[in-house]
Amino acid sequence: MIQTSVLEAALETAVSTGADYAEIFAENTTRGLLQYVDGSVKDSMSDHSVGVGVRVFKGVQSAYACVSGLSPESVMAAAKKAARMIAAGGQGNAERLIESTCANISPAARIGSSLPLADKVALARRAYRAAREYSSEVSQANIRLMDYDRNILIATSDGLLVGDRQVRSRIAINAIASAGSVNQVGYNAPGASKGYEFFDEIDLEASAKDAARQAVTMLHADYCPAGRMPVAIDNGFGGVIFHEACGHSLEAQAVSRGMSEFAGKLGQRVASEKVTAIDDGTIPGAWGSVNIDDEGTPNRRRVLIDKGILTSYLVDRLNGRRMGLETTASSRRQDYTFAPTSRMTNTFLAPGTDADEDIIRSIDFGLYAKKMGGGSVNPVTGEFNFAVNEGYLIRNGQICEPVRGASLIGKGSEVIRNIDMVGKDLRREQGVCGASSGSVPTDVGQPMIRVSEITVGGRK
Amino acid sequence: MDFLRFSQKAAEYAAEQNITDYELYYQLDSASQVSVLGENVDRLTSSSVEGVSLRVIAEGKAGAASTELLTEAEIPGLFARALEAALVAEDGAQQDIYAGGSYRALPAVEFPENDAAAEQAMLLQAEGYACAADARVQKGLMGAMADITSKTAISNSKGLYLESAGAMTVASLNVVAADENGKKYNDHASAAKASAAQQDIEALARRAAEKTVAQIGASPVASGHYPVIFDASQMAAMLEIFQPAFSAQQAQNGMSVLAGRTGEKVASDLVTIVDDPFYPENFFQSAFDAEGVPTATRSIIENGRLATLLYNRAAAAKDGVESTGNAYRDSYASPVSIAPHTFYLKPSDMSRDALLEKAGTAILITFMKGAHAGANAVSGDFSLESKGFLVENGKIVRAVEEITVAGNFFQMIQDITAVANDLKVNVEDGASCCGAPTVLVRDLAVAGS
Repeated sequence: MIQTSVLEAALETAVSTGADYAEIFAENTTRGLLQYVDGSVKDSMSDHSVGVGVRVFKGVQSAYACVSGLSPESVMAAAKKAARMIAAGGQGNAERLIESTCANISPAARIGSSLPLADKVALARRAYRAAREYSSEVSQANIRLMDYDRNILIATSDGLLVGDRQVRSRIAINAIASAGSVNQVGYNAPGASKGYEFFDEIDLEASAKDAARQAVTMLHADYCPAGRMPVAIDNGFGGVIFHEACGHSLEAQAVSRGMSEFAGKLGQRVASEKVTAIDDGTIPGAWGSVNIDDEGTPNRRRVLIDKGILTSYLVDRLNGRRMGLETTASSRRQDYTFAPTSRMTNTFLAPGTDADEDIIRSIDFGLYAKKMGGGSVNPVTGEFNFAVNEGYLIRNGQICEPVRGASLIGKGSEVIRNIDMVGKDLRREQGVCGASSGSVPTDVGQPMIRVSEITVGGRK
Repeated sequence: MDFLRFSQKAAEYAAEQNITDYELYYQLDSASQVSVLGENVDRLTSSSVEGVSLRVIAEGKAGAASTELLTEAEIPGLFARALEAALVAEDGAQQDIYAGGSYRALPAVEFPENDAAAEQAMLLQAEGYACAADARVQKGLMGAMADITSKTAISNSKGLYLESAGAMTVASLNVVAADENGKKYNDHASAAKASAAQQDIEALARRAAEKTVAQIGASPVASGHYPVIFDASQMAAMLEIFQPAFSAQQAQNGMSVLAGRTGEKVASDLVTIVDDPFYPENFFQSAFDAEGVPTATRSIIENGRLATLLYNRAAAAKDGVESTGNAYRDSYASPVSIAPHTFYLKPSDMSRDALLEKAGTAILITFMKGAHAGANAVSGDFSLESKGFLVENGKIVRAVEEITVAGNFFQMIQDITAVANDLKVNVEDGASCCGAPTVLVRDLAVAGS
């Protein structure tokens, strides 16, 4: 992507004002987007994103400069700018670069940018038709087919030179059911670190029909009651509860600044014995997997909570300096326009021993959250929220009528203590996580769990 | 190469290839930011990101492609990708390239010479100001100041060439406070100004501290139905969440409950919503939209009646009307969609205190979170994590937290019973932003204890 001599000269420049570490991140990414709505192709975009970012450290202080383009002049301009910003006095050291390779855990066969657009249209149309044909109440479907071919190169003043190719494919299916002036939506968005062969491996029509089923079910649902109650959260995207209630608060970005309710709790009990939480960037083909993180460190599996005991944070190099901890290969960024920071990959609660039927049967009056939407959290206070896209009331241990319009809120450290039953059937689903280093692909997951008490934001 | 040269090279290539109808859209976003943690500089960043999007018409159909490489070698591939997209396009409307219109003359944008060292020095005092404002404020304030500039340009095969630019400096301060039991509270304040020199960090620090310590002692209220007062900032946030419903494109796709309701009563008589591309405090005013169409100020809802939806050229062609100049691109690489410019609920002459008095007993909402998941512009439903204050007899009596406020936006705008005079516009959001005064809503569901 860039000549080694250019990289070495730029690293020399980057440390010339006293930085003790410098890193070049270069990127050449193609992105494809096809949107299919109302029976026709609405938009198609193919984007070529190319640029470089240079980051320097002086102790725990950092500077980051990025520019579009990959010419030697662009790389040098970013290096000069970063050096000027950090200007700490003295002269840093940059080692000769030694190229290393990383194993590719997610090989891709059919890359989006090399496929005929007509094939992608055919794929989107299949999902559209399956959603529309589910029921006459499905009034619209919005299909977005996305592919990413991300080529990155990382060179550091420690002499590391490593590149990676990260290919991803995803289809987002929104189904809308309408009656009069009432609209309800259903959503599925399967994705993977794979090429278009991914769409041959999944049942696309089933996924589209399921989105339609959610929309139609919610169209006929009454509003959810409001108040505190026990909640059974199903597997798959239900794992967003751990992602928001706990995952973000374990990121070194928050912990190292004392801006997390889990700061200083390593080795302590933070959840019941039933809770084991894992962040694993090494699952072959998984949406959130990466061979190396965006600082060039080979990825790994991190056990964050082991039977209720906090065992690891998610650490990147810079925040690791503040905390006196090594990186856990958790550094990620959307693209070269962002400096990287500690982020999640594929994060999930490990399977437990409770049967799903027993979880439902244990609740006299509560909510069964079958399908969750996204959420957010303030790591300082632990206050989080997430949306219930498809919910049902539980009465006397039985799943009863569907309810709509609910969200769940609480404080992370309290809610994970309230997880008192954990099912056996782990499933992961795909999401896009937004934070200070941009939007990155992540999986969330869990088996069914019971939260003994949580605030349900309903409307009745 | 710069955009002007790139567009000349593209014109030469198009002529060679007999490509007669195309348009280039260019965007350059630059930012330089300093972040502090307490009394230390934490992070400095500088970015300069540019990109070009090409739209080509072939056989009456449009296709698009984009790139961040402004080189001659990139041009053939860019045209090839856009032409391939045009050939699979199926959108019914006949597409063409816009020849231009008559544009309002705007004063030339002055790019301020911001002094990075002075900005750093200012920010490093913020923690001191915040701690002085209240003893319960903790050390470790996070602050940032960013100088942001944006330039856009449009060049097309009909000979149209337009440029627009803007600049602002955004400061934000994040404050943590603790009560006597060590329970932490967190809030922030931010301000957008034309230049760094106009930032008042002491006032901003005081505001961030006040907002944070005001939450101390907060607890939930009992679940139930309450009259709800949305603080100006939160009503602006509601407009931000639900503005997609005003897009004609969304309506045509059956994704807006406002479809087919133009001319009808959709909100309380007190509701007038204006879209103003020339709102004085917006630092990114533009005389043209993302397709080069002239922009204009207009009422979208007038005294409760839906006056018009927002249109770009394709949506307007479908409905047989003129574009309202609301074509929008989220970034140079995004497809052309529809968005308002400065979209605000018109204030009345009622003071905020008088509005609280009129409410009597109500929940005043000053903070909401989770809109990307807990609110849906297609259905109008929302259920959002919220904080604020309990109001009794027209006075704030205590802080409230760990509640949700839930309802439907399109019902809520019918249930607005008072509008105050304290219009606040979130100009830090850039070219497309929302604003509102404080409002009173008759009844919404609150989940708490």
